[in-house]
Amino acid sequence: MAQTTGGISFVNAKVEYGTGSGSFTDISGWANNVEVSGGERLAGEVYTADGDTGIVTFGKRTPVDVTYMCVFTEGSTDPFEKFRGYHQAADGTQIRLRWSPQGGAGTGKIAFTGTGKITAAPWLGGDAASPDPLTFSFTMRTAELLKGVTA
Amino acid sequence: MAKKRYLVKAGFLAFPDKNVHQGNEIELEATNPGTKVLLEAEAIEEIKEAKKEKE
Repeated sequence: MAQTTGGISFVNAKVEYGTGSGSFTDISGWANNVEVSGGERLAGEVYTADGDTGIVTFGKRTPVDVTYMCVFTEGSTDPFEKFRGYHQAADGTQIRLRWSPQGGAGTGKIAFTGTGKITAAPWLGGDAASPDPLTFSFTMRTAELLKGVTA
Repeated sequence: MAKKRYLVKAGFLAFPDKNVHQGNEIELEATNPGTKVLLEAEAIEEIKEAKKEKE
């Protein structure tokens, strides 16, 4: 089997966010890393005295956590202040996250989106010994992610 | 530029300002290169009006 030539990286990714009903804001210029976890299907098991393997049954899919890591900047409309505000609003503001590994390069590229609220707050720490730009991260929990394409 | 109506077949289409989810209809410029890409990727499908039956 010939080796695929279709591998892609995250270097031209497009990373965005929006509120429940608003349009999306492109924060590719701040976003450093997108991490996804969860979404497993629950499984149960029981063993009986007879036989050597368990009886396995399956349940629902667990929520998905999406973590954005972004460069910290101080502007009032910059990502840090936006996400801090969404998290600290009464009851938390519902947000949508959307990212596409090649989304900055045109139409028809794979994209993912999910809707939820911030569960891990975007706070800011730092290390006086580090020369690196400060970053912050936050996590949004969503029931599931959808896969689509850029238009 | 002629616009045509399309059915979204992908999970969603990520427009700059919105997501249009599967099963919804959208209007796009038929000659737009991006529209052709989405058709080739089978992310959308043209909606053809049913012809009226002759009485």
